[in-house]
Amino acid sequence: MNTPEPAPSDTELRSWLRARVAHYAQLDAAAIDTTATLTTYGLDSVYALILCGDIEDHLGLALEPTVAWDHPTIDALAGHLEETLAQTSPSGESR
Amino acid sequence: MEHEHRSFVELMGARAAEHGDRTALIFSADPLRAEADETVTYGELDRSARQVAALLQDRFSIGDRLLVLHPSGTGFARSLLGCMYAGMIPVPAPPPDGRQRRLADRLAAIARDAGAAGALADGTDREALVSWTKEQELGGVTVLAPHSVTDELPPPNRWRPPPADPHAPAFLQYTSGSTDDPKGVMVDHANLLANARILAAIADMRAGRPVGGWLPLYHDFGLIGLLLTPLVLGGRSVLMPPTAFLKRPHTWLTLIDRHGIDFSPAPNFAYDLCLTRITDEQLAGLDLSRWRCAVNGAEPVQAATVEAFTRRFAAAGLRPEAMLPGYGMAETTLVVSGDRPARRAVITEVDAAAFEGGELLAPAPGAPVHRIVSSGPAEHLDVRIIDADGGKTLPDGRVGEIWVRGPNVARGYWGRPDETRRVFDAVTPDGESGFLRTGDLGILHEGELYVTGRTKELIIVRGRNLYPQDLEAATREAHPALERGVGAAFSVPVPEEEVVVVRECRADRVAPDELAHVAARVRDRLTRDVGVPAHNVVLVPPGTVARTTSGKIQRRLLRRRFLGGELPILHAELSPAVRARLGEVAGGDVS
Repeated sequence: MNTPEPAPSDTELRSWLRARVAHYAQLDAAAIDTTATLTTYGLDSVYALILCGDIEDHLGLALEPTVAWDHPTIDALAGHLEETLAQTSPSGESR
Repeated sequence: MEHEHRSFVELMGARAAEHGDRTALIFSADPLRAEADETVTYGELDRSARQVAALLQDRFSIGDRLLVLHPSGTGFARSLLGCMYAGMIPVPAPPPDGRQRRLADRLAAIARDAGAAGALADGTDREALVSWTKEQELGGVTVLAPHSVTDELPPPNRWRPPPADPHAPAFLQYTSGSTDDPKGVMVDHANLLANARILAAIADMRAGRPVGGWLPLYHDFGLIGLLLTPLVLGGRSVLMPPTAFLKRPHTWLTLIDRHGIDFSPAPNFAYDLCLTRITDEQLAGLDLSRWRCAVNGAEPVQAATVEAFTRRFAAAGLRPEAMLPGYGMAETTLVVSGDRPARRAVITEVDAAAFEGGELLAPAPGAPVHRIVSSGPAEHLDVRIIDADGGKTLPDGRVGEIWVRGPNVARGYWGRPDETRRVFDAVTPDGESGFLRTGDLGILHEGELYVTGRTKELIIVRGRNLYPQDLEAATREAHPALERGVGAAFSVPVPEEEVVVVRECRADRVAPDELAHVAARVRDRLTRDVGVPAHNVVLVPPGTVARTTSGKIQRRLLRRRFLGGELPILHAELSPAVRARLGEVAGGDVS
């Protein structure tokens, strides 16, 4: 398959997610494709919940427990989280 | 502790009359927020159960099977008890989540096998369940949400008590059987009361010692261990959502600390998760000195986990003897044996080579050692070790199938008289009758029972029983190159059980650099359809997966060849632990 290089456009969040997924999949971060579904790496519903807890603690957000199922790739997840963060901006409104 | 009652329903009625204002149940939606706790007394639980029962008696008949699909919480308990009060048979099961086809299909197979007449659920899940009954063509299943405003409950005095029959089924427990062919264990009222008595004797449980945790209530470990046993004993059950634990493992330990929980069980993986995910800061805020029984069961107990957990959480006051390895299954209501609470877990070092050959010997000096964990003295049920062909009863120190007999051995599998006779009413080679064949392998040594494996090709991951045929079927449509070939799924202890799937692949249909993609598709399928983390996928040429002349896949042979490094491998994706194990055996690099 493709061997993605850490693209220069990688945001901090994306590389953080990639490192978490690599950790749970027991793979090198370089082997994780941010466009592939998490299930490709054997991350099942238990890991999806664990990851959800990780993200909440890392970003200080409250998320739906299904967030990693609803946004099943790292790119999709990062996109969704950035959007959520933008909505919880300093102006105060949390949706 | 008295057990003169003929049924759980009779007992609960007596408890409500005797101590109606005692707390029966606390549901902690978020263990970090005490104000989110919901408390239910024995009186309230009894009253709710009467109301639900009256509602059900208006619509169903005595002996009807009803699915109980509430998530963990007080609604689950009210509906479950309501079914029992109505003289109907509750069938707890995980609800479909709208995402995983596996859950929807499995629940439908359970509904069909049990001949379910109805399903009880939270109001918020009602619509999804009605669509599920339509999709699965289960027109006969009426969906009710007894605690929502739409299904108003009748007054409790409309309830008509069913006859108190100790041998009437109390519930059906579906944790056995493959997805297509689920088997419902019939637990009767006498089984349930006997199991509580045995568990209480093993762990010295008492009414004043709270029980609690996060285990799902549709599984026997949670249903019996967390909810029904404390109610039988007149004690307190403290529950939290399983998802809260998985997201933040320290919430479980916070629950234990805050509620002074004495007995909290979990499978081995949960203790590992605590070790890897709980930070030192979180640990510093915990007081675990009152947690007397950290029961470890439902999947193989790892010596390394027992030791590491005991060592690390000693800093939070955990007693060195707190972890209690145990053994049991739905077929024995819950329990076969468990370690004594007043001593440390017993870990025995044996000669690794002799052990692989089925014998327990003290390790020879310098020889490789294998460590096994005792599941406690075999003293409450009759336990026999029988050799593989059922030909003779084995002496201590020899590995064979575990057979058990006792008052908590369930009545059988719902609607399967032949299998029930074969599994639940076996006769030992010495002519002793009424034994349950557990399908597990074990050894008796100095009065202690050690569980060492399985005769069945069952795979256990995180306490879940997986059937290899389900995993193999899931790989079929993963990629066109896999269309015709067959696969074999098995597990390898490294030391936690990991799933390995060996799959035939037509290499002429894919470019060599595409093989990794095929393996990724297989993994994706397994994760989505079966819900299992499949880190090990091995692609082999057609004709490699051995079958008998009758077409049965020879999984044991494949497993042996895989571990011996003898398989012709086109491509393998392996976890570091499995790779290390293969490297040890083959002395070489297999990736």
